[in-house]
Amino acid sequence: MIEVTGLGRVFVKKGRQAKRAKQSGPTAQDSRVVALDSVNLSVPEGETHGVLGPNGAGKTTLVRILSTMLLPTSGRALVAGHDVTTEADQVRRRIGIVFGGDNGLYTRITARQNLVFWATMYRVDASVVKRRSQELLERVGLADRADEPVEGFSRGMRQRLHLARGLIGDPAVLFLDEPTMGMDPLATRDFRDLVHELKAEGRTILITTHDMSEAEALCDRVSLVDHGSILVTEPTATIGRMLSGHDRIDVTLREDQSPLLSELAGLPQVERVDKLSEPGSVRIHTVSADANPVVLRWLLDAGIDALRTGRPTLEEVYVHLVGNRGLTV
Amino acid sequence: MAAAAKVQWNTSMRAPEHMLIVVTAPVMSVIFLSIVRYNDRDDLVANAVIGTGLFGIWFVAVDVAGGVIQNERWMSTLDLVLAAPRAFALVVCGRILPVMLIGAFTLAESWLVATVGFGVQLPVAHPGIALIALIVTLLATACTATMLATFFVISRDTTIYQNALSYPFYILGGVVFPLSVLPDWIQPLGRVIFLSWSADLLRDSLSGDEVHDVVPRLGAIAGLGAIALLLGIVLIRKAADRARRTGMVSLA
Amino acid sequence: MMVKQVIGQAAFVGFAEFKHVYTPKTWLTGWMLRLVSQVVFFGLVGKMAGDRITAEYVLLGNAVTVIAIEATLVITTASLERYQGTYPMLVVSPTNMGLVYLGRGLHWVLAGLGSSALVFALVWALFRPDWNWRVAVFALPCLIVIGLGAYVYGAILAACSLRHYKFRWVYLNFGFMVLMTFCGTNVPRSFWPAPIEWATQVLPLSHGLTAMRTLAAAGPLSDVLGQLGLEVCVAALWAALTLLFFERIASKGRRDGSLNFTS
Repeated sequence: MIEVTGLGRVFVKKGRQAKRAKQSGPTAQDSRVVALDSVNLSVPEGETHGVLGPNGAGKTTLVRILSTMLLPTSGRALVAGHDVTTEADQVRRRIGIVFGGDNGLYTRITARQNLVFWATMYRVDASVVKRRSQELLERVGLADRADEPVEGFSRGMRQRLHLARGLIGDPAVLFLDEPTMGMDPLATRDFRDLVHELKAEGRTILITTHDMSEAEALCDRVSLVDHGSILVTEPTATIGRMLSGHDRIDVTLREDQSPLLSELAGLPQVERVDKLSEPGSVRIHTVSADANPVVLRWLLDAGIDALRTGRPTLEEVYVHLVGNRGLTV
Repeated sequence: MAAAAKVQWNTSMRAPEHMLIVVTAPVMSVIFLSIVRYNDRDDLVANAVIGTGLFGIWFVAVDVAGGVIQNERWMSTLDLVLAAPRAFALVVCGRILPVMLIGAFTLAESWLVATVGFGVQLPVAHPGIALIALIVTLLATACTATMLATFFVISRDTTIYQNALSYPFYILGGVVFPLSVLPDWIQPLGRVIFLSWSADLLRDSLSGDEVHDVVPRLGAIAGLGAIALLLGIVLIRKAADRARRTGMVSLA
Repeated sequence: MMVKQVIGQAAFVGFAEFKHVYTPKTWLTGWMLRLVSQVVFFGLVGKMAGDRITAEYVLLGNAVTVIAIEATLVITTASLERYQGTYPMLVVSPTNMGLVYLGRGLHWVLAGLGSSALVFALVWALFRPDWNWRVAVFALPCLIVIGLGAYVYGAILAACSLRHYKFRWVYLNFGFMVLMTFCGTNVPRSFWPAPIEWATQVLPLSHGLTAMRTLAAAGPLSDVLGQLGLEVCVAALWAALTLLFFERIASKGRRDGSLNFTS
């Protein structure tokens, strides 16, 4: 549904801006800023794909290109079978866009009036406009407030209206850019439930976020982006294998057990031992999957019973590849 | 006050909306001059040129007075302002003075339109009087703008008043036509506005005739400006007192 | 079919928003006071420079120009569009934004019609000018045509102001002042050098104002209809340009990346 090959975008900064960019460091050359650098990505139909990365990594640039808001300076992108550069109009009829934040709605008119307006813009047949607006309002839980001006809406309500707006043209592909940014936890949960429903309908969804739990909850696959490039694209369930093919063991030592630490690190089955943030907690990386039972038995024999095993999480992969920048868990 | 002046100068230079009048003033003077020329009244060119200049000076004053208040950074410091009303008036006055130069610039633009665009010679018969009259006018405008700013602080709805402070004042201030064009009963009202004194004196200083009563007329401009400034200080002090009494400290 | 719906929906949003622009009180004490005094001001300038006839000429011109000024306020609607972040959303919808803007600010035409008519009535009552009664009868259709012409002209300026957001006030003021200066408001168009006079032929207001002046002078109705016809042609020209221009502005924005959801 989304095919991206060698996609790049360079911004040329002018005047004062460029001067400032030059001063800011040696990386900013010639006042040209590479926002996206030869990106390849393929998202099959029906997949929910997450694009993760810190602010300024290029996530939003990618979505802006795919949603025909920005032209690429190199490469090619197909959305729903149409080229975003040469067939923008065809693409526009097949996509829905939902951006996080307060912007993008007519705040002085009601929720229903917003939807009817956008339905017309998306060339929805006049005979269906009313019915579809009502259906969408019910679906996103705004039917009770449908005839109130949007300016009185909370962040979460606005975001649900955004989603309804994005769905008004019955799109095959949906772009969600930081959709839950600034929403409270309850509103976030409701919003995610809605996304799950859309996924079940077989829509292709591309979602950008820097929220790891969001990506884990929603996405079939994720791509980690930094400095304008995709670092890795993997299924969310197995992305932990990137770091280690097998489980690691987290243990918490009592104070009197701390001398055991050096002994533990010296075991031939242990690759290394990392300190965790909690006092007395360490993470044991074993040399192979076969080594785990041996180490576990050794730990139990030594009287250490506060232990837990698990695969590396998405968060760890992120931290490993990108660092701590822009991380929310 | 100097610091306030610097802040405002930098803000104005960076924001095109403050410079709007620099673009529109020449067009305005084209309109006035076209009316004058079409009716074969080149003797009224001075009215058109000075009219545009005063137009510009007054516009900038009202715009900045409103802008100072709408500026969000000011909104958050209004509490401090209310605690020290006199300082507030001086700071506003300081911020407005340099911007007055933009207003005065429109006078030069207008003169250029007249000489280059319409090919009229506009000698200044009494340059000394003209210069002093202009400087006193700019000072009086800054003082009056300070009063307007305090007025805006209290009323909070700036846009209505900004509209109402435009053309009604151009009429009553006799900036283009002398007050004698107006009906008799309304003329005394115009004399309360310093613009009418400024316009008359500036026009006289351009004509070849001898200018009478220069000092009293300058005094009228300066006096009306001083009254406005005092009124501004009194107004803001009253507002401050009321705010303290009612416990409503924040006006924003 | 779709065209009608798009313009209708866009106009609907505009009218819904308009309720927030003024309250009756702010309209009367702010905007109307300003407009009436503006028209009177120029009338007095005319009185100073000429005679009663000149003053009446200038008064008529300025009272009619009121609707042209107010119609160009569509530029402020575009500013709001940008401020609310709906601008990029419109660009990436499958509808030409120019089409949307043929309807989006129509409320300004209606508002201008009200202002212009009211100013007209007030000026007539205050100054008792020697205008033929026909002006009063046929003013409405003339003003509507002028308003629509100035509106589509303003829509193009709105497109420009979307691109050069910082200069939106310059576009607005310069936009209506050009009409006010050269299109016959204060002096006949023939006063201007030939190239300018020629250019005013394709600017809104010129022909419509001539039609109003013909009415005031009790000229033949056939002339009035001809002049109004020209005004309609000018409006159509600017409407076509609006459709073309918004697309171009949008594609420029796509190229340089200035389309963004935050202003």
